[in-house]
Amino acid sequence: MMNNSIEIINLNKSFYMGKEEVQVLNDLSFSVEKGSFLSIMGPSGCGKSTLLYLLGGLDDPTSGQIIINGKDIGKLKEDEKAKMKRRDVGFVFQFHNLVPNLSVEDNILLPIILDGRSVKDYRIELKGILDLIKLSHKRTATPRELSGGQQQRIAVARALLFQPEIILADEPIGNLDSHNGATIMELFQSINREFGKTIIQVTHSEASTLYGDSVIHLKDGVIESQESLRPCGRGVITTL
Amino acid sequence: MGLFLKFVMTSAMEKKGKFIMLLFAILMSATLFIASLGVTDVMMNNYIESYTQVMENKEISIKSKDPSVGIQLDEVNLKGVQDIVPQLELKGIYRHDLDNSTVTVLGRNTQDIITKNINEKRALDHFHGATCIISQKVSQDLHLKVNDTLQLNVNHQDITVQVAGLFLNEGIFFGDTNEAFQMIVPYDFLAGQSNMPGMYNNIIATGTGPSTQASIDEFNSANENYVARTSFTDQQGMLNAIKEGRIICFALLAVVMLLSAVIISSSFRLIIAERMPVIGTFFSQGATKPNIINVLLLESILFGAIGGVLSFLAGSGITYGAAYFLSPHREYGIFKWPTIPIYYFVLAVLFGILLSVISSILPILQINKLSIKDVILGAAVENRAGNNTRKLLGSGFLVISLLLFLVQIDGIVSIQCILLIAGILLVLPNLIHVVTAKLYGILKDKVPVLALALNNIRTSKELLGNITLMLIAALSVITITSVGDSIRTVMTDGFNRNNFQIQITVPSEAGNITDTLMKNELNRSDIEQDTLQKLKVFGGQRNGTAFQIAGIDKDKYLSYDGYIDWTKPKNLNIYEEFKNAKVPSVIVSKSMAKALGIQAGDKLPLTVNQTEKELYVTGLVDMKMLYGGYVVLVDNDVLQQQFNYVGTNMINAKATGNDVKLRDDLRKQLSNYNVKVVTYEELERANIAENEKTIAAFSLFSLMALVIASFGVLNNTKISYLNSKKNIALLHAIGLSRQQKNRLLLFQSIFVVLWVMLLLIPCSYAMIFLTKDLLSLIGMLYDIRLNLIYVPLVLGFLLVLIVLSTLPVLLNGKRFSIINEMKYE
Ligand SMILES: Nc1ncnc2c1ncn2[C@@H]1O[C@H](COP(=O)(O)OP(=O)(O)OP(=O)(O)O)[C@@H](O)[C@H]1O
Ligand SMILES: [Mg+2]
Repeated sequence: MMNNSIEIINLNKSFYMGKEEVQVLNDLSFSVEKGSFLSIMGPSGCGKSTLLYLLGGLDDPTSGQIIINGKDIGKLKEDEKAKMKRRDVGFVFQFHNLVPNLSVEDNILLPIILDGRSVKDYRIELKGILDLIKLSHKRTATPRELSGGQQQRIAVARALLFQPEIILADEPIGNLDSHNGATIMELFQSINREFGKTIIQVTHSEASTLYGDSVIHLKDGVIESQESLRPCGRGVITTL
Repeated sequence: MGLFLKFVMTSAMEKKGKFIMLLFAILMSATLFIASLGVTDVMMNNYIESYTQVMENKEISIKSKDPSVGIQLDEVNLKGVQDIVPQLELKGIYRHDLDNSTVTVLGRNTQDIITKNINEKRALDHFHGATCIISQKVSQDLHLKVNDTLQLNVNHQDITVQVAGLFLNEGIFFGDTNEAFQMIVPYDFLAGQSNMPGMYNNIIATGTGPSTQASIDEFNSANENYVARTSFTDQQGMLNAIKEGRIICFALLAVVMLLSAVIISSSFRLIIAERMPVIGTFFSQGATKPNIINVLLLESILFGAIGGVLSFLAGSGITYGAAYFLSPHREYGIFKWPTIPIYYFVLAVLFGILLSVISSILPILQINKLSIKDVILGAAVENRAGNNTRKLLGSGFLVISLLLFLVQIDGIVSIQCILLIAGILLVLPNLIHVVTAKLYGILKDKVPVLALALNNIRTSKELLGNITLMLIAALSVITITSVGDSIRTVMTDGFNRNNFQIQITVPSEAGNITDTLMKNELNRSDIEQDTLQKLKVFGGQRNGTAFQIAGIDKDKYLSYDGYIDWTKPKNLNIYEEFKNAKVPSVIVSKSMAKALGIQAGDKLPLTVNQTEKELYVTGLVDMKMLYGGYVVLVDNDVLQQQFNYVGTNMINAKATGNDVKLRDDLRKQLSNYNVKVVTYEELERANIAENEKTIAAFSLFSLMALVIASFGVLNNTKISYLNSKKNIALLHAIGLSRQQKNRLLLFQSIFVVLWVMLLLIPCSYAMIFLTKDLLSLIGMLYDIRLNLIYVPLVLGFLLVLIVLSTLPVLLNGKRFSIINEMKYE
């Protein structure tokens, strides 16, 4: 069990549209092994982002359990959850990733700042990651001075800097050209392979799934199918 | 364009907060404006009523030229007058308990008495012989019922009359108080008592000429022994005082308006910023800048007009309320609703529109500076160039004002004050930007939440707006209360600093008995004889400027006056010269000298008792606000010798022993004279009660300023929170805990107040100097001081307010959904 980074048991999520209840996620159960790289695919509106938010503890499920690193996040206290978000999970959103009144640098450093750690200790990492995303020259710029793709790269950098155990990314390269997209995906792959970090990404691009080791196809709130890209590698275990 | 207008209107309905705020700011100012007009109107009307009603609206009074001779009706030529009411009018005194009241006894024929209802008519049936009619108020207050008898002292002669009936407190009885009231007795009775059969001494009448003066002139040229005058004497002084009150109200209103203008202007700025994307869409569809500006202006006008209409209603409400509470006899059911002139409605609407348009014009015209491309692409943020001019202009102002403070050129204190305040307000955003950016850099490592709070203040329009708003609000409140305090100090000081313990008022009707009284009756060992002196204060005027003439006993006056600084060698010298002058001399107050262009050594023509004499001005002395500031000090003997003027005298003295006992003794001893004896303490109490009203008026304005500012602050805080929700959600997603979020919001609030605190003290000083200067420009020379105690009080209030305004957000934290905030606007 401790081998699983994420474990999902009978997860349901529904929203109320007026009086009508809309079931978005329907009794999902699966677990993600530590150090695996999972891609979630599926048609627009099938509940991918919703699932990712639940995994990140940004929203509460209607029912079911989410266990991250052995801890049921539904049972975590508010500040424990906040700590988990800062230290254990890095999140890259589909939209709106950056705090507009902070510089690029401070946006990347935010989890560290919020955690009360010294920014100085991360100087080298910061420089490295800025070089990697090729935005060193924009260090002091504010997000509104950046293009959409640049903003996305900053968000990825932030998710990586703290070296969290789990990285959740919602279409991280959706706004990027193929070259920049490849750079980010290679980055994901390398931290997955070299540091053994667990990565879950939502994507529409078949190509980007190839950087990972398994794919879940979601449709209408249920897992339609799953495939393992590396039969012997780590992956997803679905309990049906 | 119609479409944009439609959009504007629907967004007005949707984003109610900002629009209610706008409306509220306009409403408050315009309401105060209308209420200031209305309430002072009511006061003036009440006052005018108090003397016109008492004279039964007869504006002419006819008396005999020689006061010792009565009027024989058949000898009077009634040219120029009509509707005459001949009467015998005598002053009397009515003693009750240990107090006494001055009674004006009017001997009238029954047919000349106006009755207003059946009860009053019936009362006249018993109105024969030693009977009298008094008012309901006097009956109630002095416990006099129908058929009771009361004893009066009229012309040193005791008479006893029985109450035949009670009249409403209208007409003759309108001005009745416990201290002084009117009484009607049958003419025949009074004529018999005073040995004046067939004679009258005061005929009141209305004129037949085109004006009162014309009628009076006509009458006077036709009569040799009788003289007609206007019966409404001495009204101008009081009316001027009320008008002066109105000006002070307007001055206070100006401060409140400034506050409203800031709120309106910042609301518009926010509204426009929020609409930028839509404006962009309209630009992309071919709308021109003037199109957009016109719609915004129309919107501003509309809000002004709505605010104006509402404020007319609110102001009228306040006026009605005030009329009710100020009406002297409302307990007796005598109360007339005031009529509010219809043009006040127009004024209110104009006021609202002007205030709204003037305050919003700058943000609206900013549209002109926008680059259409940027707006369409959603990139129009701030106008950097504008910010730079702002910074330069502000720093320029500050430098000039500091230089001026250093150089200290006399008389231009206002300029540097205006520059200082304007400079601070202009550089404020930049100043905060620079300082917080520095602090953020230092703090982000150590106290992250604090650093983030600072950073938010730097970048949030609303929080910056809150600082400006709070600063101006605090300034308004401090200025208004300080002005109120100063005026109160002036009023109480002018009184408190006078050294006496007992005061005996000898009304002019009592005749020239003051000196005899002092010599024969007050020559007692329990009165400090060195301080026993008389004082009379009465109005004079020259070239339309009204002033007070104070008749003093020059040998003793300094022992009485503790208000003017006579210890100053310069002043003392002037006084000595005045005291020893061989020619009739005066000392003139500096402010009056300034207003009339008088200098030491001049001859001042003075008209008293219809006699004009030129008096030598020995010197000018700063008399501060003594009797309103415009004062001529003249010796009582000079008044007697030069003008043969007696007037109402106040005899002041210190007591060697217990003043209350002295008062009671004197009341007994002087019971045969028509005089009033009171102690200093009694006067002081009355004085304080009088001041309460003024203070209440000032409190109202401070309160309004606070209320407007509070609404502004609450609203800004709310908007700023709504606008920052998305970022807070993001921060949450990255791991900001709830406590951290709460701390962030609290720190923001505290920093806002801290900034206000930092700037408030210099600004307050500047504001106080400025107000003092401005008030002196309109002839009010108040010594306005900053009362520092208000600074922490106001700041404390603001802190509580802003913390309270963030409280709902803090408590609501549980229901905060990160996902929803990030997804939807
Ligand atoms: N807060 C909400 N209230 C109501 N319905 C919601 C809410 N959030 C999401 N939904 C609905 O849930 C469904 C899943 O949404 P979700 O954002 O997870 O889709 P997605 O798979 O990420 O789609 P895409 O690929 O377009 O990003 C959608 O039908 C959406 O309308
Ligand atoms: Mg999605």
